[in-house]
Amino acid sequence: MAVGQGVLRKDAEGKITGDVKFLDDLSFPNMLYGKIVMSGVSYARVQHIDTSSIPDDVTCILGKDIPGENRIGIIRDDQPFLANSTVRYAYEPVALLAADNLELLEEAERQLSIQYQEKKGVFHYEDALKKDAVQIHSHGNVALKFKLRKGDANEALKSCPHTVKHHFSTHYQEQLYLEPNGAIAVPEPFGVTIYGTMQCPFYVRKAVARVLGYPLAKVRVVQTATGGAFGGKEDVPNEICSAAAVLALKTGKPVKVVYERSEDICRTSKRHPFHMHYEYGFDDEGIILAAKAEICSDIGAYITLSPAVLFRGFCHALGPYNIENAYVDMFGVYTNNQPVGAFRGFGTPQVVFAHEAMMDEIARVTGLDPWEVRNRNLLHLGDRTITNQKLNNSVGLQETMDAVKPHYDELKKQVDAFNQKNEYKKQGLGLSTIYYGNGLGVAGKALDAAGSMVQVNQDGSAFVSVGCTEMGQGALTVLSQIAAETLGFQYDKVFPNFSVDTAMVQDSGPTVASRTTVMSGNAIMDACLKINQRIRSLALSLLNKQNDDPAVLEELILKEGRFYLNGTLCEEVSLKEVLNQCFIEHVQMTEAGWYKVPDTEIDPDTGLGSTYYVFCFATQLAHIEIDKLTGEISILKIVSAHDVGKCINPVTLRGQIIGGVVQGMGYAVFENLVSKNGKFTNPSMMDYIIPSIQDIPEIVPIVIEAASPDGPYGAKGIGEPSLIPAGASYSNALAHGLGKRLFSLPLLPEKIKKLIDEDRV
Amino acid sequence: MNVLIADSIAQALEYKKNYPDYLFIHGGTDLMVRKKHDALSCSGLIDINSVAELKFVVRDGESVFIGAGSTHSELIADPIIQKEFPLLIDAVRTIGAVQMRNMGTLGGNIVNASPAGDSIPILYLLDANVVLKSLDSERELAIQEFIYGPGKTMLQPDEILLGVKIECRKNPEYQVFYKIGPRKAQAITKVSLSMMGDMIDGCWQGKIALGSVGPTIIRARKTEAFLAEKILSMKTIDEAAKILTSEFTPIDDVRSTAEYRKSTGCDLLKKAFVEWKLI
Repeated sequence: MAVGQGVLRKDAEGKITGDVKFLDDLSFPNMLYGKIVMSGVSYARVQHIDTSSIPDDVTCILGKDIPGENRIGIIRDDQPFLANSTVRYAYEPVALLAADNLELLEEAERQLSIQYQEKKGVFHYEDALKKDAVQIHSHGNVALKFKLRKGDANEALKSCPHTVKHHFSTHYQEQLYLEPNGAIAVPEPFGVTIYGTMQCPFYVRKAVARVLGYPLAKVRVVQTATGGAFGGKEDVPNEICSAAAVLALKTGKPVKVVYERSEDICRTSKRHPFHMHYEYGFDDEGIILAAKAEICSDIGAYITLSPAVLFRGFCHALGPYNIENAYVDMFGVYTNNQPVGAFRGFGTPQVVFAHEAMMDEIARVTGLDPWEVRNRNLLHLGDRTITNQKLNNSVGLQETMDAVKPHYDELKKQVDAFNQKNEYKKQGLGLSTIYYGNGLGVAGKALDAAGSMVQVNQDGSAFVSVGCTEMGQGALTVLSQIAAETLGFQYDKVFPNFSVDTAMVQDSGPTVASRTTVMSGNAIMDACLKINQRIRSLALSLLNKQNDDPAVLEELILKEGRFYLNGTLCEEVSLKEVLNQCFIEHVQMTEAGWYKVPDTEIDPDTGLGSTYYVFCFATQLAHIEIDKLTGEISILKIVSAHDVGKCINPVTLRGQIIGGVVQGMGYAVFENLVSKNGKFTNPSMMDYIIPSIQDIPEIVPIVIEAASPDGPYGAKGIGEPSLIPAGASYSNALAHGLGKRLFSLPLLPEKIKKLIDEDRV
Repeated sequence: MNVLIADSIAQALEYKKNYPDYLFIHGGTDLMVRKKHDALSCSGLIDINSVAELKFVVRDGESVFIGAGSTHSELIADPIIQKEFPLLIDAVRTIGAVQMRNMGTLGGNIVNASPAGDSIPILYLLDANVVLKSLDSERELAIQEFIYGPGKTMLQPDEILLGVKIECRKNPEYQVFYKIGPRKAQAITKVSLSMMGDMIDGCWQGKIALGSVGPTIIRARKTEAFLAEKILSMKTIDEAAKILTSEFTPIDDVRSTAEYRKSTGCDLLKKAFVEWKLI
């Protein structure tokens, strides 16, 4: 059995030996280096651009020189590729340069003279919403609004026995993948080939074709080995690849554009900062009677992926609970800050921080245990989410709660004993329970399909290409397991294409939303099942059995490269023999597989309807220790239980859970990207603090398998659910330990100490 | 950028005489970061990695001399330092990560003169002297006189730091180095408190230094004097913490806030006595 085994990663060898080539390791003859020149001012009119001092052997491109459309917007069209008359944020691209060495490139950047007439920018969402605020775009500063009305929350709140109201805020988070963004564009007789580190080659193809004025068929995009992404390489590579492509076409030479680390931190998308007002009404038993959330996010100067990010935050705003009366407003507001976008979790970690704090507030007011409050409100099979979507299958939420419970009970005793003994150190336990719609959902359903290409060769090896990318998460391994299982081959006979190539597979949408295992997995199954059937059919004919009767065909199966007839090993015919005959008889052994998700539909006026075809569920428990004299937190243990539908590979799954827990820990406790007047003040590895190995505690991953009928072998996803609970579990643990709550992330010692010092006489 | 390679102190000083605006480079853990950010104000470098005379720890009668070129890792492994100055090891262990401790040197940490330099507060407590040499002369200076501001020292353009000289005394019973950084490793200090002393007749008699809370390391002499004469109790500690508050004025910067540094700096004093179980 290939599925369910902790097989060796397909990409392990190259990554361990260092043989794998990342983008910046690649080079082509006569290659030039390119650079995107940024505005440096947050809000200004471009008065004059003087290129006369730029050395002759440097190529300079301005907005007016773009051969196709000078536009880059992906969901809505509010963004130029290179700024024309107005710049709206400090890192906005204004010009492109190419030279044959980096020193000359830097010199050219210094010689490029741009005169700006600076305007007073808007850097806070509240300022942007003022009546007399500067309008950053002609269509106003409110870029987005989503609303949900289920029952009548306002009316219900009036008669609830208890109500609690709080304001929460969250901050920017930087993805900080190991490999910075970069691309190489190579002019070709047919058009252009783009090599790049990226999540979404099909986005890049579209963006490049648009700025070049090319048909899609003239642009081939090849994803190179990608050293981490976390959302930071979703739409961002569109800009970098477009820059390389325009410069390559202008010069006729390959052009490489790679970001420096600080450039990468400044110029790429971040996690959206949220400001959230929450109000819950509930009874003495802790049952939620009404819940209301009003959320506003500063989306920066352009809308980029915000419609999708905020929609996801919007429909997950109140958590995996039964809530009869629900009210959610979500706004996205333009400012002159860096445009924000995709980051693992996509608008959900922010709302989880708030709604899980509210669950603990219910416990505080009613005197009930936080686990029990969650337990009483939990969604089960057949229940309805806040958008009134009925959960028809694959609901392992209760199981995640139950799995964490023994750890919770045991640690609770320890924590109580510790806190009684210690005056200056306190321990705390925090729970966080979440759900997460798998795939792009109703907001992105136009893109939610994926392809594969499977080739079975005469020697029994299979070559598999997909349209979703490996970026470190282990996709190639899991997808190869699915291919092996479905073909009936051994795992080591499957050879995945290490890079997505837009010339090989149909547009498969983006590699985001924890969707790859399901989407590419199903597309592989589609192709492999067809090939597998042809192999079995031919085997039957070699066994002199009728091969056009489906019932007879069912009797013969292929497993790990061996045939079984009615359950017993069939040694009369070997796979080798059968494949040989397939080729003699010209059987089609290459298939393009395809999969599209079940449909979803909502009413935009009420927000009610089905949002995602299936949900992942998780419950996380954090055990922390607080030093009251320093405000520092030590994280002692994390237990994280995840309903993933089906575990395809226990080793890589464990890796995904641990990785997500640690990145979530960064979000909750350490990482604090600070922006002042539209510029980041700490864009370096020295000043942007991510957890070190010594900060990482014992992590106990627990896997729950509530199989999804729509997933390959029942699988759902894990990429993002592993990160999402963190902000809430740590902050709830802090509140438990201190008896006081912080309402903003990250939980920095500076804020914790202040909270402690408030109680001093 | 020009780099000259010296293989002896004499050659290093000769280069320095001819190129007074060149900087000495050893591990480069600070200089290379500054170079990357175009914040290196020199026209060249003199590489002293091959100067063996800078790389040793030796006992000389009642004192120990530590060569400026000793790396942090070498100090941690040195039996003389382990025996005589264990607190210096505790502090040096918190610098950067293994890779940085393998490259960075004690001399570099001193000459860089950062208020966040983690070896320096211990050198203050140990009353270390720096030994400076030019082609014509050699002189000694107390470390707190040598460093007079962030990145500012009394090092003359024709001088090199040979090392530090520390008198050996009986190791105090109570020693601690608290470093508060943004994470547990690879961290730049937000605030540190170092203490060494003994309980004598019910009073704590010793020395206290704070890091990252002023332009240089701060010796809390008033707090030291107060504690030396007051029978130790929770009340004494609270009063001492109040005095300590008056001895430093931290600032807000990219790493932390003045408020946090003030509050935590004072509470670390209490933490020390709580953890020593003296109160």
